[in-house]
Amino acid sequence: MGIFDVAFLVSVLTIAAPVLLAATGELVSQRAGVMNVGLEGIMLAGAFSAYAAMTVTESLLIGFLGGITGGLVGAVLMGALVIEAKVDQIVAGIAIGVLGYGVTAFLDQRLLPEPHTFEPLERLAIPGLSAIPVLGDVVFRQDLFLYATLLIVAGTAFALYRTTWGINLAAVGETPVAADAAGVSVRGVRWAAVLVSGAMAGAAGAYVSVGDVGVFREDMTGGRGYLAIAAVLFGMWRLRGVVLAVTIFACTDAVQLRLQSIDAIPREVWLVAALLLVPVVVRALASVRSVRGGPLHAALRPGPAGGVLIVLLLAVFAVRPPDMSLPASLWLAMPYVLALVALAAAGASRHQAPSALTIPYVRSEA
Amino acid sequence: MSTTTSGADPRAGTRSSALRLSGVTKRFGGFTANDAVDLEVGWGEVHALLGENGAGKTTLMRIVTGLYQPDEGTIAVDGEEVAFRRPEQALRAGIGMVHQHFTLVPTLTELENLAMGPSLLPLRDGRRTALERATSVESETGLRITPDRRVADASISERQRLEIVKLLCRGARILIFDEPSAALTPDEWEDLARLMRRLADDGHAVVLISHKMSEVFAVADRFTVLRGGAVAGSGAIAETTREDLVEQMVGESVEIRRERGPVQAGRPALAVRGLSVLRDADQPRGPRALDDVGLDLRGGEILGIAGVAGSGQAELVETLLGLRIPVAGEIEVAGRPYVDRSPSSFYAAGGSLVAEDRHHVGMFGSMTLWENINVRALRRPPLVRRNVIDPAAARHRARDLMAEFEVRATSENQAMGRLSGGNQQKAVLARELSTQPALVVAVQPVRGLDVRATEFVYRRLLDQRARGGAVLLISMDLDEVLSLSDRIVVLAHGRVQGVLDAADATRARIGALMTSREAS
Repeated sequence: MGIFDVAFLVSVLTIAAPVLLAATGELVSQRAGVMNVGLEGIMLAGAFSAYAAMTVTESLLIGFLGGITGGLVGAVLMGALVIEAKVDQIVAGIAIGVLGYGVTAFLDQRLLPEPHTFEPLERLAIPGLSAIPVLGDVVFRQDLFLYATLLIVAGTAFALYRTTWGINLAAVGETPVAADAAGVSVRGVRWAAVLVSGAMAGAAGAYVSVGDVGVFREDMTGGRGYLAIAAVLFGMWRLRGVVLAVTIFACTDAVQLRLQSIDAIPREVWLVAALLLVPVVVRALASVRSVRGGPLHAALRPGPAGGVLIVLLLAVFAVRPPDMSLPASLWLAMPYVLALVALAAAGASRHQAPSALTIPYVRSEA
Repeated sequence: MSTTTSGADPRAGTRSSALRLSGVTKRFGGFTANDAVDLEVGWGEVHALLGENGAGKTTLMRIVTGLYQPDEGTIAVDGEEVAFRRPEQALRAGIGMVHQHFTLVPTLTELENLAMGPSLLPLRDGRRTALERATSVESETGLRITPDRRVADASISERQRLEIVKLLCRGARILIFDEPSAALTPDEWEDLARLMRRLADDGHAVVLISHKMSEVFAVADRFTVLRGGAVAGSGAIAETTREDLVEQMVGESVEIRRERGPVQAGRPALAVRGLSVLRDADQPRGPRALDDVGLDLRGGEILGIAGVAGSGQAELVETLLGLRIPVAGEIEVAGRPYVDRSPSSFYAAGGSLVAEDRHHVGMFGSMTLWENINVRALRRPPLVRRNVIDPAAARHRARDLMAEFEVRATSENQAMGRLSGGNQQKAVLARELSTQPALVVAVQPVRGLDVRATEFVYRRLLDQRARGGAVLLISMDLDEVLSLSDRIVVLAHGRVQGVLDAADATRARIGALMTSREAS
């Protein structure tokens, strides 16, 4: 049955790459204090611009440059709204998200009614390294976009943690007054961060359309932009955390792709579900117990008792899987459900967020 | 009016001018914040800038540091005329300001805070050069930083030191200190005073903005007093007296002694018995912030709580408000047991609070003055009719209270955050005292206020006492506790170290009790 094979790992990387690139850009923007909620719309703008550029030039390079330009246009709009006009960031972001969807769908129908299909990016085998068993097939036989993403993430890590620019960025997102007093232009840093995030999201969008499959469809980013935002929160505003979060999301997405085609839910899924619930139930038990009564008393209360029952049931299923499956659309929702859970869990660690996130900077305040 | 030329001061004979302001005027709409201000600070001099809140000191310093541009007048640094359009330009000209609220990033390390700044090559790592500069500043001034400590983990005085190092690293030669002692202990202030003298002796120019006469007389060479936006006087410290300076600041002599009648102990207002509170609620066996504390306060009485910061004052207030749950103890408010503790039940029981952190706890900065003033009265008639608020009645009540409590504002619709600190505190008092509370808990009620507003707050607290209400006055300022209280409870390490009658309390006795015992 083997869900986890080389092809699975390859699909994890392919799914992860655009989300990771967009999330890295979003991280830069959020560390500067701008929460770009319109990331989904900006990715769509990138996806469509890349597709439009391709239909004219048929060059993947121009296509990606077009995607980056589309992302930058979205970012300029975002920056003008939240940095210059000081509009509420969430409101502006939602507007840009909706706008990106509407405008790309409209332009697609009006300008390019004939669907085009292009050759997606080639997979390049890196000589030597690609001969390594498993790792070579998974990592070193990928397309250029993945390599570029890895380089950009590494470069971002360097910029964030090893340069004055990274320090300024953190200062602008945390205590803009201090950055301003130090002579750092809060406006300049925020613009730079928003534009970086726009360019990255645009490139990620281009990969989703022309880079990966070679077509454009309405709303084809399918929530990847929101996943990227969730990854930044779940990753607690650290690049390492963001990479981890994107990996988890991509694994889940790859798993659900496989599971869609399997008749019965395999026992591994039941086991994982049971294991995931155990810490929740244990915590509930502990909190009830600390109020009053012994462990038995705690386990008999309706909430924890239900939890214990569900865990036991899942454990039974793991040993003897029932012959049942879920509709494909439910499987499709899995990464998003996970993102919701992740956000709820990250709610407890909210204090990790940059203090000035979503707060416009007005200088003359005392 | 005293002279402004440096020739008047014998010690300034050889000093050249570091900073000279001539006829600086700044208007905001119809309001003139600075009116033809002249200010001259020489190299090697500590210059005290005095004035009440709202006298125009802040505006003037914002002009000097490039945040505002003057409408008229000129600024000269080291003899050369300058026109700053942005703060960076003032920094480059060597002017640095140590703000009351530090401009540090708490999540970064001390070194990173030094490295922060505009750089031509954005991908360069500024940490190395910052460390080199910090080392050279240390060898010049003896100011040492801890490079890898996060600023959030540093104490207030360590942060202030970092702020000074930061300015010196950037080559600041004119240093402006905005009420630097506000958050310091007396020892830390001594260190800072020595540092200011040392910086001046090394040839820097130091401007000290302060309310405290003792500080001004301890370190300053010369002074300039602002009143109502204009210069009310300037000269050498050695040739003036405290009374003289206070009079220049307020324009009239302020009554220092407070007249009051004898205590007429009324109904019990607050009784606390055996109160013990954990320092950290997650550590049941950990240290206690309050240990077996007992208090007794009756109407018509002011009970002062003296103690150094962190002796359990904050925990006492939080417990009264129900924000902390004690491990033991009973509390009675207005003679009735006060068991279900929450902020709303505290107010319902007849309590009221003048909070220490005015900006975050004491008011809603972005809401209007009338909304702020009426917060405690909003749910009761006459402001509520058939469960609907009557805004006209509320505005009317606000106007009456503004007149009664001398709150100066353009109208009752002004945003609370736009008022000066003194007027904000007057509005807070109007809100808290207008409901005729049995008990007023006042925590550092005059923090950051000028002489006149301070006097107003004291008078209102004494009025509350005369009316038969009780005041629990919590303050780190011994003089304040001594001058207002009928009885004084000395708190140290969470324990009551002694209760003194105001008649036989002295600074020395309280000081001895405050430091009498180590934490158990």
